[in-house]
Amino acid sequence: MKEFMTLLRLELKARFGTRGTGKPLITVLKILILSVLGILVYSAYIFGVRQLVSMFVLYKMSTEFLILFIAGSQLILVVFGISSVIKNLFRSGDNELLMRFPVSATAVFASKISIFVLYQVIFTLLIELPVFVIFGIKSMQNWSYYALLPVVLIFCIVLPLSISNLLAIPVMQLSSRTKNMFTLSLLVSVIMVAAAFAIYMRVIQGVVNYMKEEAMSFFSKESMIIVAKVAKYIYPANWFAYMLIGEWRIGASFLSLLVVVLFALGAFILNKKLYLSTILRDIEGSGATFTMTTRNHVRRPAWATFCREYLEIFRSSNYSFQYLCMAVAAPVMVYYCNKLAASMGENSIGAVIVPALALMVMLIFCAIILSFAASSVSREGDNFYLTKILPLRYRTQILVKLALYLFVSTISLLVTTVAIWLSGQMTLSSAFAACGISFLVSIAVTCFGVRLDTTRPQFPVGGDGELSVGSISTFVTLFVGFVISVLYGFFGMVGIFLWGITKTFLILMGVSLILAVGSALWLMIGLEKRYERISQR
Amino acid sequence: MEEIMNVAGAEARKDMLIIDHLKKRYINSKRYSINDLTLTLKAGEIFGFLGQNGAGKSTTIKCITGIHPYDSGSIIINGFDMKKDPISAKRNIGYVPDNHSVYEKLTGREYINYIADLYGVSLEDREERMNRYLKMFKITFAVDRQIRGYSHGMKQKICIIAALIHNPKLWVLDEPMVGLDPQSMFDIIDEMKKHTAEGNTVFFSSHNIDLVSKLCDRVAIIHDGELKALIDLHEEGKRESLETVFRGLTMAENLG
Repeated sequence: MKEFMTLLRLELKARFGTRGTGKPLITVLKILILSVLGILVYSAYIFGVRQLVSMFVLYKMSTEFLILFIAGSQLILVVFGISSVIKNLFRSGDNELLMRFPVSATAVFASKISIFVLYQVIFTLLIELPVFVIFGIKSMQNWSYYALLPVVLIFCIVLPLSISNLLAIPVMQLSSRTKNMFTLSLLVSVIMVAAAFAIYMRVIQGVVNYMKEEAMSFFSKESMIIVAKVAKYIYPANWFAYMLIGEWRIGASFLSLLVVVLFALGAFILNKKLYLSTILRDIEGSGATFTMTTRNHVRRPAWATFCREYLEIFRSSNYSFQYLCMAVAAPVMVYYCNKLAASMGENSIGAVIVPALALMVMLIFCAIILSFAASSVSREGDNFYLTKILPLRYRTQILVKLALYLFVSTISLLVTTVAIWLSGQMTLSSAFAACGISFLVSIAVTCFGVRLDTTRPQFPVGGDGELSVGSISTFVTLFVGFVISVLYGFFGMVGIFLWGITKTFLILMGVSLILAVGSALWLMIGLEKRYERISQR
Repeated sequence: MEEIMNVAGAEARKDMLIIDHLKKRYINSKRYSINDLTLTLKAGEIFGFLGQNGAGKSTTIKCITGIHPYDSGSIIINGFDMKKDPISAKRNIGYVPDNHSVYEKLTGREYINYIADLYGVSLEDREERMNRYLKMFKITFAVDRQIRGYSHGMKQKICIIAALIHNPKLWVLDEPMVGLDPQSMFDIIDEMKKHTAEGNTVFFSSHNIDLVSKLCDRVAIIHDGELKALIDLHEEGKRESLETVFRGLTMAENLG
């Protein structure tokens, strides 16, 4: 027990004890912005849930909703749980260190799983509980629903936790086998992100349609029959739901308990038997890398740096996902967002504002992709010294990185433009005008992000040499990118009404040009001196 | 061989590294990590840099290589001022860091080629040097593997090859022998001697007084950021007394 408490304290301290920037103003600002964003997102979530529940209740599909919701949230918890279990339990950076000390594997496991349970509890209370409560009110459940709710919530925590633990070991083995198949990993990530986003946006679209016209059904009659049929067979989510709403309550309660206990027991036995050996095997196998025979060749310094930077991103699953995957999946995401925004905007204001909304969506995704640039210096980590000793001007090194970021984002932007033009969301001229504006804003955002990172880079890298925490520069860049996008969107909508699209887009183009030039100058002036001052002790 | 000796002779008079009244203080630090350090290294010599942990050895090396800016003084490498013409100065340096950090996602060959590209090494030269060093350090078998899977010693060897790929005038090594097997240590020592015989200079820091006394032409002892002694080991009895002198200088300071 003493071992466990010591390890738990260490774990808590490692996660929450050293995140301060040391600058009270920045910390307060960060908390403030995060809080505002958090409240906005959470309010939108609660509002969306309320609409969704009302819709299902209206069409007498409340049980189906409850089953689908429980199944969906359990699935999300399992997916994130697997990744979290692998990251925090099996591949935690301190495992190798802890194994050298006279502490038992059980104590290490218990201390790490406790944090994971804590996250699950927070998720359940913040995300699942409000839905259950809203559902209870909207579908007018009696006292037994609320009395059994805590039991179901416990099931909702324990079951995904157990399944994640059971699946983590095979998933780990699979990821170890595919970790050097970079193209395949990127492709799978892109497909998964695009698919998940498309499904998500279709659901949102359904809610919007419902809000637009309450008489219009979210599902067609045929779909409703299919949903009702499918829901009956989604185990054990249907048992949890039946248990709550009082349909076949005793049987459902017994089966729910049985499933939860069996999975928990299975996970306990598996971890008891395999935790230590899996950690040791993984530590042993972590050095397994690829072999690629290439020839020696001569490249120009700038091109060599460009290729090196690209390979560093491409061969990191973390960076590849953050940047390349997002850039490749952006056209799909922009397409669906545009579709949704257009249907909402058309309904409330008119079709005329669609180009401005499309521009806003394009800019938001540019900001998401290019906020990655704000860690261009920090990502060098322990290799930062190399950028200092090599006979290549700091300015050239930074320009090469800028070129890479803009090259990838411009391709993504062009594909997006063609997609929204071909799908009829915008005319050719409007689409390319939006693309031009987005390109200029991309330059501005990228230069801004890199400028921040050259002023105050952070080099907190994990055991794999990668940036382990999001830098403040990335956060600020993302925020500024969002603000610009919203302002452009708002101005665009108003402008189109007042002066028409041509004049509005020309004004925005001019403003973007000024922003791009200003941001580039802010980055480049004094860059050599600023970079020289960066010091990694 | 005669040609090499002639070159060495001609270069012997040349100052390869001039550190003049160098001062360096880290941000948020009250004391100078390097305080008024003045040193001159000649072409063709192996120069040892001794000091306790925290004495300022690595900081000095990081200032020489351009990693750290410095507050005052100057560093001239083969005639190029690190502040006024850093690119030319850096072209003359090959640096082996103490933590052997490299771009681990690249293969050994990709990494060496990248470094060679930045120093503008021709294809013929890089192939000849790469093959020679890979054979010398016995890591030819691993050159097409991703560096992430290398052992500490192998990473150190890749760092050394990358530092030598452009045949630098000044070869700077920070604790180069850490993590290396004895054979590789002998190979590095041989390479240091060969490098200086061609008129180049080797500047390395170490905690191994025995190695320094056997290998170096001259040695500097630094303590608390200040130069305490500059010893010519060719003078009679200096090699034998180096350990005693080092202990005397550093311990006296500690007691004081």
